[in-house]
Amino acid sequence: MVGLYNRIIAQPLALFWRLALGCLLWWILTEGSSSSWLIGIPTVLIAVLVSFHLTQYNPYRLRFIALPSFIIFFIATSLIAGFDIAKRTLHRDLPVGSQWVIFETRLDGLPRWLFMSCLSLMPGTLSVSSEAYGLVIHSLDDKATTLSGLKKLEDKLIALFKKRESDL
Amino acid sequence: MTLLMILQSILLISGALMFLVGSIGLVRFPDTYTRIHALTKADNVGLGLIVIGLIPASFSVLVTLKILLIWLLVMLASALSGHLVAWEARAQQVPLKPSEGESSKETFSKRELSTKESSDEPSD
Amino acid sequence: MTWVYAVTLLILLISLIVGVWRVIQGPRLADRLLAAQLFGTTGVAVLLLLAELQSLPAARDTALVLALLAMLAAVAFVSRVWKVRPDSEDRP
Repeated sequence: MVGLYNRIIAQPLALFWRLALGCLLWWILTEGSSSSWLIGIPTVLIAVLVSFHLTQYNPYRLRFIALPSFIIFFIATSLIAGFDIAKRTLHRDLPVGSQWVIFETRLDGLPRWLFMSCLSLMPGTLSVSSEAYGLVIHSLDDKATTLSGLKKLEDKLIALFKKRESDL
Repeated sequence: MTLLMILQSILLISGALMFLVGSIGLVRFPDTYTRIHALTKADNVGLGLIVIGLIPASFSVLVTLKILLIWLLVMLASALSGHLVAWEARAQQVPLKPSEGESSKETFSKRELSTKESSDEPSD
Repeated sequence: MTWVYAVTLLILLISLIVGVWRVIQGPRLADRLLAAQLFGTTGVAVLLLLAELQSLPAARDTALVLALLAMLAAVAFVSRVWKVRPDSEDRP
């Protein structure tokens, strides 16, 4: 309990953002009903406590400047992924490959997790497992196409996060 | 019918068609892994189109935010469960569909995975 | 505008029926689980459309719960199958 308290006190900025996010989510989910805050405030507080309890210290910071470009990239690419699937599905010969690709990534921690989540919605790739030697990915395309697509996503994620300088 | 309504209709119906494509892919695709591809990607786009089509229906900021949040949650859920099913399938050695011209005895133990360079895809 | 909703819902229904084929066919449990996931996502779309069509805002909350349940189903499936076959956990 003391450890949890110290962890929260050590990251006042994280506490602020999590509280703000919790309140925003509650506000959206209850569609702005003001009487619901009687339950909402304790719920948000407990949720933030649990989130501190469950997560490790995260040395990465989101760069808000890079966020719009990432969202646009993500939406555009996932749209392409959907139409790519449609094209393959409706094609008479069913041009679907099925193979494993190993992708060695420099990412770790939160960016790595986000990378694995995003690449499942990108054209032709599906994250399967994360191993010491890299990520195991299932691909519908040949290796070169897959790797260049993944490289682009990796670059976007590197731009999105910044490693914290002052690690005490 | 206004222009907005026409746009909305196009979004809603193409979203539903995207779901249909996902289902057809689920039926037509050759192995478990490719089926996961079909399902997660097509349904995500389908739901996205439907959500965007629903925004102008009875516009309110909070409802818009809420359905966008639902979309985000579904997106996260399908990426996560697609990953979990693929992970589990690989652990249980569910075979890949053998590409045409290759021997059908292709398995994918981790040892093979790390040494195999690139498999030759028949080009058409 | 109502007919657009009706057509959309009809296509979604057809898509569900197509998905049932995969549940019947299998051949693996994983394939059947995928169909269940399809029902989850399609269910969310149907509920969002119904919320608008019948002005039933509570249907959006149901959609939210359905989205969460679909994810929990996948997690439960994977952890259950895992327990049945503990030998597959650490292969060389």
